[in-house]
Amino acid sequence: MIAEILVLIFMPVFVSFMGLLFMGIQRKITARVQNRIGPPFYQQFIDVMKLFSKRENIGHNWVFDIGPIFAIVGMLTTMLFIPMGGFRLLSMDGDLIVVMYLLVISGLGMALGAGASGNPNAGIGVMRGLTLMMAYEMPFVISVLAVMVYYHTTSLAEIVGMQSGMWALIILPLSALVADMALQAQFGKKPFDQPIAPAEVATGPIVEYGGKYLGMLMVAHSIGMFVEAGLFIDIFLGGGLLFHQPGIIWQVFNFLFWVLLVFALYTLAVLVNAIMPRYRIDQAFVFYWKWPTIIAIIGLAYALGVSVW
Amino acid sequence: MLEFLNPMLRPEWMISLLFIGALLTYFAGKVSSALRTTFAIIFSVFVAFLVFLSGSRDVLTYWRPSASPMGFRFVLSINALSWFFALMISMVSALTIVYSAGFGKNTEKDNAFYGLNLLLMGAMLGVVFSGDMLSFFIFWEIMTLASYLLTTLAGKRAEKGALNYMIISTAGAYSILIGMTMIYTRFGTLEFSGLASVMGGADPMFLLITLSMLGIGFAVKAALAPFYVWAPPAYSEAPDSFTPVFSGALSKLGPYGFTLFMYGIVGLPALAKMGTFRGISDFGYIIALLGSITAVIATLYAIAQDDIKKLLAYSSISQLGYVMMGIGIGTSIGVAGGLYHALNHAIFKTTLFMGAGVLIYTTGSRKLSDMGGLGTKMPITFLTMLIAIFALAGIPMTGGFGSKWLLYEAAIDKKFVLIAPLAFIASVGAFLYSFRILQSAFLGQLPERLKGAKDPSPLITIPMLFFAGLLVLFGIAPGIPLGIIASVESYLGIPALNVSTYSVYLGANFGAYNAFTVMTVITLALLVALALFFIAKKSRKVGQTDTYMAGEVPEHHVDLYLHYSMNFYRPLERIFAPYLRNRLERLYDAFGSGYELISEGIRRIYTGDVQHYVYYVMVFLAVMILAGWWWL
Repeated sequence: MIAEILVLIFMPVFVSFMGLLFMGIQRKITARVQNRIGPPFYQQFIDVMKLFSKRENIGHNWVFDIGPIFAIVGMLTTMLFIPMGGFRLLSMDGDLIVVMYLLVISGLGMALGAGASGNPNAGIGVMRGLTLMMAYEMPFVISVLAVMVYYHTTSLAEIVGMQSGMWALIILPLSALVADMALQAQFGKKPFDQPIAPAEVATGPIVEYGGKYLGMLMVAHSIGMFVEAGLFIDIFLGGGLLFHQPGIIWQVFNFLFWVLLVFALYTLAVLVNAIMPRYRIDQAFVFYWKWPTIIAIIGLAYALGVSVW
Repeated sequence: MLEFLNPMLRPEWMISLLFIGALLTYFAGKVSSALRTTFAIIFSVFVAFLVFLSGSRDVLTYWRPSASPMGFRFVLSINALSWFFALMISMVSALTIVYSAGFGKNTEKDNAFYGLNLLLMGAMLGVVFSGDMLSFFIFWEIMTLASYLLTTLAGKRAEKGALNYMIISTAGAYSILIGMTMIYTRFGTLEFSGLASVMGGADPMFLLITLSMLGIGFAVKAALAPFYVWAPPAYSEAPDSFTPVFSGALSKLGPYGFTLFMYGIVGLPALAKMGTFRGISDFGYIIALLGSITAVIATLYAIAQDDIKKLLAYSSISQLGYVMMGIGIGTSIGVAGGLYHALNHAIFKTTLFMGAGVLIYTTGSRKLSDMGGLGTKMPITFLTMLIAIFALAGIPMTGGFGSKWLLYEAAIDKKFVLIAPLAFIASVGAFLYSFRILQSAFLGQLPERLKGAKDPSPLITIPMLFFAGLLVLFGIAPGIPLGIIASVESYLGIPALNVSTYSVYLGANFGAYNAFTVMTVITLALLVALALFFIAKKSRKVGQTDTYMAGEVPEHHVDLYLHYSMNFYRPLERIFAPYLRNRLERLYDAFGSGYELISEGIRRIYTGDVQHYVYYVMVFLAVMILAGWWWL
């Protein structure tokens, strides 16, 4: 019991730390791809420190304050319901659908706060974000449905457990491919970074947020990275479990491997991001509802065929 | 303590109280408007209280023998199913009457408004309490008529919508009448309890035809595709204080009819005889599929609306699609999800239409793009609508999540790969249109002319707060409504859902949902976030135009060019516009003009010349005589 509570406390701290570290490394990688030197890998820590210790913060009204608070609440809550690197956390008390809805709290709260700032750029950014969400949810939902239909369960812990023999990535490669395409938009990386597009809408929803608000958003973002990648790993990569023997050493190895997988997924998205231009929002919508959806439907048909007959 | 009310806990008491109350209210209005409003509130709230009390007792049936010439008995009964719907209807109707009292003046003819509202409430209770088909149909027609008249009270602009509603409802009512007549001629009884024992043995073809005839009538009320065309104009043009009842309560009679006839009377085994698809009756599967298609189409329309009432009207159609989806699937989880979603929809859509009424009253416009920045001026309206929107979008912490979760589980459990993605996408679309309301009305720039806006009187806010409180309560303790629904399921002969107060366990093959854990974690996370927020330096508040504008200084008409709400989802609309140009409406129009053409042809027979008529009579007689020779 006490060990579980310790894990529940340790995990958010660890995840926000690693998230900031990964974002720093990511900036370095992007810079190297683009033949620049880039900031040091610990730059994100300096930024967060600076933002939290600003002498003056600018707010608009109480609805504006809700944004970053909800962003953190949503991400923290979601995180605790996803099995992470061998730790089940609270995943027995909520299944995949609960997680998919908890994941929305963060974005919706952020949208509320952004809208309350009264900056039209924020409004446009939120519109783009919601449109993008509707775009990528279509193929994502279909591919996740393929997994749920194949294993005939909606429980994340069950899905992880059933992949101990073979990863869903190998059984349902098409669905995994589509889910990774959707992951690109979930991470908010190019070509799907329309909501924050700095050159067009001045970072969209975040435009009015500075100081401690921006610091909180950065923390929420780093947790979000682990939540989104963790969800993908649980569904398609067997929860990142490499060793199935009991024992503390194997568990540590499993956990490290899981962290490595998160880093790999994030780096993949970052590499695509580094060389891609940005779609217009309607192009992004049409893209997602066309090829990924078709591939996802084929994947679903395959999963259904295998599981029913 | 309340034993003295026991003799009044009978359906005939509740209905007659409301019918008498309707008359009294109407004539009291001739004397004084305050007296009229007081009467309306007292009668409706008292009856709603009676309905609430009557559920604490066992399933009861009341027989009222009558001396009708054909020997029919009128039967009124309270059972688990009818009580569940009666509770929903009476709660919505009574509180909407309280709400409309807060406005002072709702329509040009307020005496009729309150009178008809009570009549409608009585008729709706009559429909759900009916124990036989004849009284069901009579109350059904009173209900349609009363709601039609209420819609027309909004004045000239409502006439077309109201007429559309009446025509399609009448077609639906005839369809119901044909179905009921077929059942009566086959079995010779009108009473539901009698029918329940014999309908199960009927042949599948007969069941299919009668259920389809009845289903068309119910689908009209539930605004299921392809019968939803009446709903957007009727919902949006009806008086602002009547739409909450129209969408919140009246539309639920469609799902009620389906549940009653499919599961209460025909029963699951007989439905299965019509053919099954993965253990679900084909009839139910088609209803479920239609429901999910309705949900998606209506959502796409809702995203493109700028008129707040029209947006909510399309949203109602979409949410009722979910309800029909659950009821169609017909498993223990499906029916529970459908009924729970019906209850949730009754609550949150009533709240949203109430809020829309307040916004229209405050801003004098129904266009979302004319509003803006009202969140800080009208905090109570904002918060109640926010909770209702959270429920609509299905965010955990509110009641709306539980029902959507059950519906998805039901679809995934049966591996319905067509229904499940449609339901999911409709739900994501719900985020889009519900955020449009928030962004356009409550966030963004506050226009100069709305600087003096404030929350309305307590008569208006208390019903809204009550509903919002219910949504939060259901979010923490889904076992309260689901417990009632489980008893409805066992009454209908469907395996009852396994629920405790805080959590729902569907079985080993599913995930679980523990609302209490979710709530606890959210609270703790909120504490962490608040700590982070308050440890850092306090922030200074700046004005609404003090934002980043790339160096530009806003001077006048700030709300015109700094409030992003006109054509909010333009890129998305541009994609969908070619596919959504009112195709169904055009189909009905083509049907209408074709019908006109045929009627025109028939009209030519009536030439006005007496010789022609004599000629017709001769031909008719000759045909009759020939036919008589042939067969006799």
